[in-house]
Amino acid sequence: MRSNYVYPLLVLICACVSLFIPYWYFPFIVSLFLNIFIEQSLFKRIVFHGLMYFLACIIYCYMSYATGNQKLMLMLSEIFMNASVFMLISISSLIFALLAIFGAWCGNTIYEFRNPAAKDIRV
Amino acid sequence: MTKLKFFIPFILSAGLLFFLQGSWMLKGNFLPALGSFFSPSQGFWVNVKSLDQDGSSIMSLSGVKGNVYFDERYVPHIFCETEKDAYFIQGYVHAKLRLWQMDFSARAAEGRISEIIGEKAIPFDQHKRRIGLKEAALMAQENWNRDTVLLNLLHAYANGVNAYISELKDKDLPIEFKLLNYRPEPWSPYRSALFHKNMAEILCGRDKDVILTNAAHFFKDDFNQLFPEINPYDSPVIPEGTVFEDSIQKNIAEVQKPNLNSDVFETGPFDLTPGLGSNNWAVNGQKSYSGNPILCNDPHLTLSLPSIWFEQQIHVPEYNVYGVGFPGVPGVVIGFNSDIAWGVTNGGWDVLDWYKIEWKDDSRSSYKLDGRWVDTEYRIEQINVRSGPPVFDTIRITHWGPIVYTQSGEKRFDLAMHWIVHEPYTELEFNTFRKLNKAKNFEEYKKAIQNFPYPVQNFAYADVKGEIGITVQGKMPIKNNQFGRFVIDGTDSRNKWSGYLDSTKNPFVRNPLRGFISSANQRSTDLSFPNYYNDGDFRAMRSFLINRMLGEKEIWSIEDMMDLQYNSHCLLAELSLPFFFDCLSIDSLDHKAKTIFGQLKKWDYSYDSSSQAAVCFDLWFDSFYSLLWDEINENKVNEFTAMPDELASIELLKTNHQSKYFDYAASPEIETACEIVQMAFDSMISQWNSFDEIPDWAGYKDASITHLTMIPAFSRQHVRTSGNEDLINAHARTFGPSWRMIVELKKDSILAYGIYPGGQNGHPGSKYYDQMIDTWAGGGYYLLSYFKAKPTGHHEYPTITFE
Repeated sequence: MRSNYVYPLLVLICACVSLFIPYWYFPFIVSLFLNIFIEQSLFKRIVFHGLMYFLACIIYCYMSYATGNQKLMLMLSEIFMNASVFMLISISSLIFALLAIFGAWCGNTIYEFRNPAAKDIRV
Repeated sequence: MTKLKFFIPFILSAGLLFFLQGSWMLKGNFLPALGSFFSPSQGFWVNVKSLDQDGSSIMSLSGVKGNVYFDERYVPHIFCETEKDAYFIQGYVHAKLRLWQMDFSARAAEGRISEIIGEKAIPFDQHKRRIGLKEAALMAQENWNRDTVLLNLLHAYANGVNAYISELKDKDLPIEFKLLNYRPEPWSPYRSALFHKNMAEILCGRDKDVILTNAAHFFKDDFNQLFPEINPYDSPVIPEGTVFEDSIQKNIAEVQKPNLNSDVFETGPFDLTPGLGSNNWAVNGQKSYSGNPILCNDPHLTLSLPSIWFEQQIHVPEYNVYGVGFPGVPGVVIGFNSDIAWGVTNGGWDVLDWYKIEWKDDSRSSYKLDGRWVDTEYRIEQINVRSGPPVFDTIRITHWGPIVYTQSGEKRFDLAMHWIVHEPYTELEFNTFRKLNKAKNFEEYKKAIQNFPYPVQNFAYADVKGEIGITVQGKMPIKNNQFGRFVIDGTDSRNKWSGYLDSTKNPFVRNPLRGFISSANQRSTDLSFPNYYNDGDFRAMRSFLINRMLGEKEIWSIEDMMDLQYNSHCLLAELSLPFFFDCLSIDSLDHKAKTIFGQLKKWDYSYDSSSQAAVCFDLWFDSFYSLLWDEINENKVNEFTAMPDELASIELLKTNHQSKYFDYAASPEIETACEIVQMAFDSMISQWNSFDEIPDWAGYKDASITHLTMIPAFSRQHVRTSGNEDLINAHARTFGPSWRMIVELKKDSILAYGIYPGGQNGHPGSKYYDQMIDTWAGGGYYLLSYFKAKPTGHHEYPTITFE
């Protein structure tokens, strides 16, 4: 039962940390390392990473927009062919989540390489 | 198969990372690197979150001590014990608020914009390199190296900029760097020199030699009448009747007038930006209500965001100066201290001449000089291009200077540029403003400016003792009559400038009897001045209006000065409309045309933002002007030929109704002036009828203030304001008063007002980015906070403390 919560919680913590580490590829790196050491099905890895990172980012970006400089946001919207602020938030979150998903996928591959039996056990 | 399966996620991830890291092109424009730009921790979100969130802070930078207080408009007030620390902090503050603008402007002057925006900028870079701004900046730097005090100060400024850059992480970069995906380069005195050379190009890098040469071909015997060197409305900077000392006039070879049979130039410097210029004036105590002198200045430049100006106060034990300067250059360029105030306008002397170079053959490897063939020298420029191979430009260098424009076709001649900026010099131009910042009286003001080399400026002056004055300062090439007005024969080495006028003999006036001084880019003197100088870019109308108004009104207040700077009275309308009205056959007009005619009859000649009559007149005069000079438009080199100016056109209308130029070439009949005026009126009416909605002047003008990248989102569109080119309020679509300043010099204090169309903070979206534009557009001002000591009391200004 405990393990059901630990993994998504870890993913969420990593997602939150990634929001503050000033390297855009950090979600990929941290997801990769997390998934090298933890046993989980590929499906769950992808779903949890996709959801947690997307949600964390969307909330963070929205808060940044709400409390930050809205005039600059509107200027940037105009630059990106009048995309709405929500669209910019979504694109940011999507890229953030995609990086995490691919990191998790690579981590899973290394995990399976290091533990050849793991895949059979989970199946 | 298993092995392949192992690698698939890594290959796809690498592809994703590569895609997100790259800067891809879309419809000819580079997209920002998507990964970093959209990153919540590194991309634009950091800017959105942190913009305008700065509070007070303490900086520990080795050996630098001082305080900066940012007032309500985010103007920094720098308080230091030494000038060196003050310049360091000024550099730091400039970088903090304008780093992208500084870096971009320096790169632009150096011809390196292609590195940032790709191949679109190659022609721009090529031009900058051909005219040699980089070489001129290097020459200035070498000059500065001779003065260790000066060099230390310039390094202190650069160190301040670099201190800011070094603490700047990628995530904190201004938004433009993130959009264009590059980082700022370290600052240096050389980059400050680039800024100065760039201003030199703006202010004295334009001239009319080539288009006047073509015009001389075209107009032949009528040329002198249509292109007078002095016209009836010229009201020179130095009042007429001033007696000048004799000057040394060296002998120069007889200059050939343009050869009317062969010299027609189909390429060259034709892009004369109209209307760049400035106004300044000062009245003495006898002409002001308060009994104190009042000095005003409004330099007219292309308006941009971030603004070209940055407002600041520098307080050190030796002096306390307030005013505007350029981000990238230390000190204050226009402003005041506790004793004096000064302002500048462009002097407009022609310090750029074009020499016709005759090549031996198509290889252009040797050219004729003094009857022999001289080998061409070469400079090869490598222009690095973003996401593309570098481009190499071979610049040919002649005895006279670089070949900037190459004639097309089989012509074996080109134009070599001889420009004051390329000439070796020893003056320390930076010292001019440093000394002005601390000058206390007229003598110190004169001493400060006497070695200012270029661009020639009209330095207006007023002080707390009640003195006023103006000096036309800059290096004046010694020329014979007409020399440099046309393209010069480059085959004769005697056709050179014969040195420069001794700078102590530059024209100036101190405390003139009329009680005021002024300049607005007009001629410096009347024809009694012993040295010949010709029109680089003189303007007559604004100075005529300013001098008329300053002369007519006995007593002036600060509010009157504000009104004068915003005055939109049109001399052109005042001079031409009475003749236009006389020509019109009113009976033949329909009801609508009669209504418009009535509006124009009642018009006060003022280009107010809400005026519809101004739109009518503008359309009417433009149409008249095109019909009058249609001969040039028919000519195949029309865009390379100077047109007689508006005043010459009106003079023709006043004096010679039957002139052949009034004949409209496209019609079989021979038209007179009045018929052209009538045709122009009809054309105006038909344009008027084509408007879906009748615009007022501000709507028709549709002014804008664009960001340096031309990104519309960072620009201000549809700025509603009065004024037009060649009015005192010289605001046209894209250029105009870039800083308005009014200073009253009381004996014990300074009362000053100022404004510019922009804001102190160059970061788009900041509340200090463009917040002054609306007030500026309406003719408003801010009271300038000139602190005598560190601000205390109830104000809590954001502060940076260096300790």
